[in-house]
Amino acid sequence: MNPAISTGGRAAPRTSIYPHRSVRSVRPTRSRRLAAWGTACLAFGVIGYFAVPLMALHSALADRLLTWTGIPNAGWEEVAVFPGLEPGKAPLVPVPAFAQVSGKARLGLILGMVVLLVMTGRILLFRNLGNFLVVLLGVSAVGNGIFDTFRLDARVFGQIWLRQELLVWMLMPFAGVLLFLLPQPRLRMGLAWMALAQTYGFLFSVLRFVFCLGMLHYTGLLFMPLLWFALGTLSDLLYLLLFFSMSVHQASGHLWGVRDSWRSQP
Amino acid sequence: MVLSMLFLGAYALRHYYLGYARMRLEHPREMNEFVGFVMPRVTVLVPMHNEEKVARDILQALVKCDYDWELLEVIPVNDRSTDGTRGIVDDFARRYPFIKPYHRLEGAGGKPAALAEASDLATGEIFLLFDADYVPGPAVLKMLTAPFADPEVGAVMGRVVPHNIGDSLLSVLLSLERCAGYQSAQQARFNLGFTAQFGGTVGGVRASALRAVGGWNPESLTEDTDLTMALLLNGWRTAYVNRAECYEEVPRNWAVRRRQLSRWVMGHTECLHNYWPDLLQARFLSRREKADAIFLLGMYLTAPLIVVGWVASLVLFIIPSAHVVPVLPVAMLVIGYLLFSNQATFFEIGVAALLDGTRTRALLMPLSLLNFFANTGAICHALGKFYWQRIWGSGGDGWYKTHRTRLGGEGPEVGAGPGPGGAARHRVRGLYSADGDGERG
Repeated sequence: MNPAISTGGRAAPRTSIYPHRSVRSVRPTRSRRLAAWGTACLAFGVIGYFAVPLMALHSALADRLLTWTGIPNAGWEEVAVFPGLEPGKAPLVPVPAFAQVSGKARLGLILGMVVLLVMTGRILLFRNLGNFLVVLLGVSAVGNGIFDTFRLDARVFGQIWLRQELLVWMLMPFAGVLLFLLPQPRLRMGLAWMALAQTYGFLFSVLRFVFCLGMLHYTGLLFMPLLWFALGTLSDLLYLLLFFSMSVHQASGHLWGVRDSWRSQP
Repeated sequence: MVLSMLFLGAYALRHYYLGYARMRLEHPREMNEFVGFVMPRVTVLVPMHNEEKVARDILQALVKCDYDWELLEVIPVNDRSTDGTRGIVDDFARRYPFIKPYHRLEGAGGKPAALAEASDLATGEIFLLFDADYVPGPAVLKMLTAPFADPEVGAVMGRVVPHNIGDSLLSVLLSLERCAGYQSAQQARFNLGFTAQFGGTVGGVRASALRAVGGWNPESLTEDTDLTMALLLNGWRTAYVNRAECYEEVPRNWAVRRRQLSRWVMGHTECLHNYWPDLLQARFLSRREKADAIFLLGMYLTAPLIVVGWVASLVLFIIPSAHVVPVLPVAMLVIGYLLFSNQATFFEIGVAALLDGTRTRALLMPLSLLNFFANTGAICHALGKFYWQRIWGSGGDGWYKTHRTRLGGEGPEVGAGPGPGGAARHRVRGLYSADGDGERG
């Protein structure tokens, strides 16, 4: 007989069911689901309706930052964004051609590649991402050196930026439904996380935009493919993930608190 | 490009669907109702190849399980070990009569071949399997046998929980990945009526079902996935028991992880090629079940498509005319696709962390991006090798045993006895305890 289950003649207890680590489920009610998707549609409509003022605010904040950081800007020009959602404003920051890019910037690109290669050699987990970034820098160097057509002025860059970011702002509420409104046990907290992510997304877009303009002004297009990848889609993914992870952290604490109080009932 | 987006979009939708379904649906209780009442004769198979670092831990854990010894048979399959594994196994066999070692001295290498031979010697109605680095809790054997009360169940899968999550950043990230794989994906698929995936460890198979589908496939690199599909095609269900937790050692460095992943990718993709025609033609599987099985087998094909997407976006970036996309619906579709598909896998991780209460680790989710990039590269490399071998007939991998890093006496210690404190008495060098993971507060 296995001594672990020996009961000394007493009836065998139900030994195998012990409190499990997980909350069994999180069930958004029908009204919660309707409220969540309704909120997303409303936010989508509101952002679309106020697209022009929002883009103007984005440009105004970027202008302040450009002035503050001393990046020269000859002014702002109206650009087409999408039919019905325009005009936006794009800056006229001077961008040097490859031949005019300073030696320091070129050296910076080489140093950047070396640093990334060293990191990929030392941190195996970083290897694939690092190698991809090195490829981006390499493609950029070759592209700039060989193809004369590889040109991008600040105006077009601003236009592309607004086209992408405006859509991210408009669609983010729908991502917010899945990431914040439905998993959160309390709707108001879900709404708070959603609003926070949305606001952060807007402000972070201004920061990234100005940083890219600065890089364009001082280094031309040398770092642009890398910045496009790292500060574009990847960046949007990262900050959404960051907010999602924080909201899960907070929601989990709430859920498990409720579970503990339930378990402590006599 | 469009095809790649459609393919990846379908996988993203699947991630959201499974994650959301797991969040909403409770796991079925009926399986747990049989725990302790279904006690068939069980054979526990533990394949071992040079496992002296971990052999003692698992055998000790199995001895401490609360399954009746008279209905239990443990067969440590010593597969041509050249270290001290044989001595450890024989020592346990001398002390416990239900431990009946099988020393394999020759024959084809690899776990499937070893299992095929050992299964012929087994006398149990149910075969339970554990890898040598796993440490089953006291109640796991009863939990894994309970679903076999249902005669349609041919195999069962338990939950794998990493115990060495404090070892490195990689092991923490892998714990998040496991969390999503089991708590979200496996449970959701079982809840939704799809077949769970038998993982070849922390699981079991009905001996008669195994014989009915022709036994283990010694040619396969992933004999577990192969068996899952064979069972599915022959009308058997694979059940998933989230509560049947077993502690494992996840790779703590990328070199080990890469080789492990490589074997999984090649084995999985091989199963896709072997089974997709039969799956499509299976008469008693619904369309949803067929789609789910093919999605499951084809999941590693997403990696090269992701890389194609990155390269395409880089090319588009360099072509000036591609910057002007004024068609709103097209642009919205592209941005929406990027926004939603990139988040999809992380949604599953988030849901699992929410349900598990792994609060601190949830904060590390953004770092999973590193793991994502690393996995993508490794999967592409493995797929390249697989198709190279398929076309030219050479260059593929053989069976590779995951390298163990546990030191003697350092590993988990299984508590004496079951019950609410049983799992808590595991000495695990991580954040888990019996309920939740000790991170709450």
